[in-house]
Amino acid sequence: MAATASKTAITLKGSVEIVSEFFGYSINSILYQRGIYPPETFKRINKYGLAMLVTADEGLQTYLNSILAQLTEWLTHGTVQKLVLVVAGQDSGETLERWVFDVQTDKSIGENVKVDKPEKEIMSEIQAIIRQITASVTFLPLLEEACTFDMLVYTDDDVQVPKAWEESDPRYIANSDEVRLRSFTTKIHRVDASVSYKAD
Amino acid sequence: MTSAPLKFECCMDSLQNTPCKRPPSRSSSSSKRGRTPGSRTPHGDRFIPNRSAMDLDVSNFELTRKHLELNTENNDVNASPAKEEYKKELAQTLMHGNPSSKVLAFKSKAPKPAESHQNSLRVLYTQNREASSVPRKYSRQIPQAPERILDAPELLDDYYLNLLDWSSTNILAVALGDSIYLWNASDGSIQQLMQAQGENAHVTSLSWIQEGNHMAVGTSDHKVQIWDVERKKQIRTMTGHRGRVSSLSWNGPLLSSGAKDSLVLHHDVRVADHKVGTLRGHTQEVCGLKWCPWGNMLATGGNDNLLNIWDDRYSSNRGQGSQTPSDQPLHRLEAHQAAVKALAWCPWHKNLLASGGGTADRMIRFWNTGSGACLNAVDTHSQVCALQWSQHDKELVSCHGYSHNQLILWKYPSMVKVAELTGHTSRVLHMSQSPDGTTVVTAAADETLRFWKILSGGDALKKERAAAKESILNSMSIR
Repeated sequence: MAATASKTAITLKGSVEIVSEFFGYSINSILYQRGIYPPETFKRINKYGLAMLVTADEGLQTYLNSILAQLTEWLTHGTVQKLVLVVAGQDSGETLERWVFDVQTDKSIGENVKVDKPEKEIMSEIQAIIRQITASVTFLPLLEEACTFDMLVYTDDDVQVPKAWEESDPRYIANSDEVRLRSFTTKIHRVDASVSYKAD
Repeated sequence: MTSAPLKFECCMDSLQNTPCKRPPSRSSSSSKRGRTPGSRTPHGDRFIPNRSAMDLDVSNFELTRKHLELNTENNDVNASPAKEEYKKELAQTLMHGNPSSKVLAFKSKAPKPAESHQNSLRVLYTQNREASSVPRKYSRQIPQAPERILDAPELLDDYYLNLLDWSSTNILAVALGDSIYLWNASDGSIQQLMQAQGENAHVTSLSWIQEGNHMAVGTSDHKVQIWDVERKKQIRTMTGHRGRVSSLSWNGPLLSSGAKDSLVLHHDVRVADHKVGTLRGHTQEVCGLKWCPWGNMLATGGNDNLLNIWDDRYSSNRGQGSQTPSDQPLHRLEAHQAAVKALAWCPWHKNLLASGGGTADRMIRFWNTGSGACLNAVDTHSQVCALQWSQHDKELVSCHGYSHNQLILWKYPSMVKVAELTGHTSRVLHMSQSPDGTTVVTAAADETLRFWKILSGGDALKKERAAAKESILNSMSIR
């Protein structure tokens, strides 16, 4: 990342990289901050000028990497609409939290076109979102039971469903409250973050 | 960007002409966008929605486009608005409101967190909840004088005996010389239960069974007697000691007795062959003896400055033969420098024992009986004769001998003195607690019993008070 830190123009490929990397870190942050996995299974690294916690659990790493790999492909084709992290009770299966990342792709920009946006600016936007995720513990209700999580991806209708994926129901929360978080844009992709949770 | 008034009109139009083919999810999310998250969390000023996230340009575009589409469609569909409505309904039910997207989930599920994992945020949340919902504890008034004083003539001035116990049925038993008297705390009546037989015989210890219908009595002629209190009748006499029986403690139907012969005997009072275990952990008189409220540990204190913690291994001995002596305590604690008579198990914290030492020691010590570690030690500057935990608050009462003959109410675990109560003119030998937990009674060598209402009654009492208050209000409102 150090080599690109001074760049002021981004291609589609660079933008996809930034976005999927952001997803990786924000998913890890959510898993840590919401206490879904034991805190001792996370390791601390520096990213976006913040101390980020990333899972050191191998099973979880493989799981996330395979999702992100697929996501990168879809992002490149511009077919992703949303990425949703669903936090559900392990035994009840009830959806307790939904972290939604809305992705809007500017499809008019071709593969080799460069757009102007300083990398630094994007990083500071991302930093703000990550900070908000960290701060979310202050208003989100406590996850009483042991929880697990699931990743949903909203794609365009014409996308071929890969083997490892299946169509799912959106797993909405009945009677939920929503808090919008900040957003960031690479001028190719725009990501809006929000979290909804059980209102009562 | 067209002129503002036009934009506004467009908005109104598209809202009034409801058949709108915008993906409803977008409309719902845009309606949520307008929502202030602050409405949910009144103090959360951190989450002001930023207008840059709303993207007014896109919204404007969406709204105008819908309007235009609507106009073109209206030309041919105007004839059947019902069909349009039906289409919309159908789309919403079938496609979950978002016809142009697929929801995909990764087939293999995320690895489950470790079984033992508990959300560590629990601490944070519960801390906050308690801080916000429970009002600060009021500091209660602690009376400096005893509520009542009773005479106790011929009370033996002997540190090693245990002559006072308050039953769960609210009857206080005290041994005065060779007799036991029962004082009914509910109506104030006094009865004599028994008188020790024989020359120079006197009562050296007494203890109520948990149910409050029987009492164990230890005497100077080495016997342990069981009395039926209602019928005022002795049920049985148990022998086995070769010295005066100076301490007694019940654990269900099991009675343990400590005596001057340094032994602790376990008696099963239900069977003829009552002796079910012997503990040989002391070399001198056993003056402190307490089963923990959970019944799995016994603390014994002796004149040999030892404090022993025993687990309930006597039960395994029973199978191999009832006479098997056990001389290996779970923990042998040698920290006290004088006789250990004052023992008290914490009622709310398992494995927490408080013990107090005699004249040469003057310390109150707290033990983790699971590990045998000494958690805290406080120098009281006076002989510690007895200890009682409060049932409702995190407090502890200790009573002392020379030089002030006082009671001290401590906060636990800070061990801050809440109150120091003087009144007795000689050392305060024994202490017991009322069944409701509000009052402690002390017996001192000045031959008086004093009742101190210094502990709080806990929730039950507060509820009672609240109910009383409410009933007054109700009766007022009827008039």
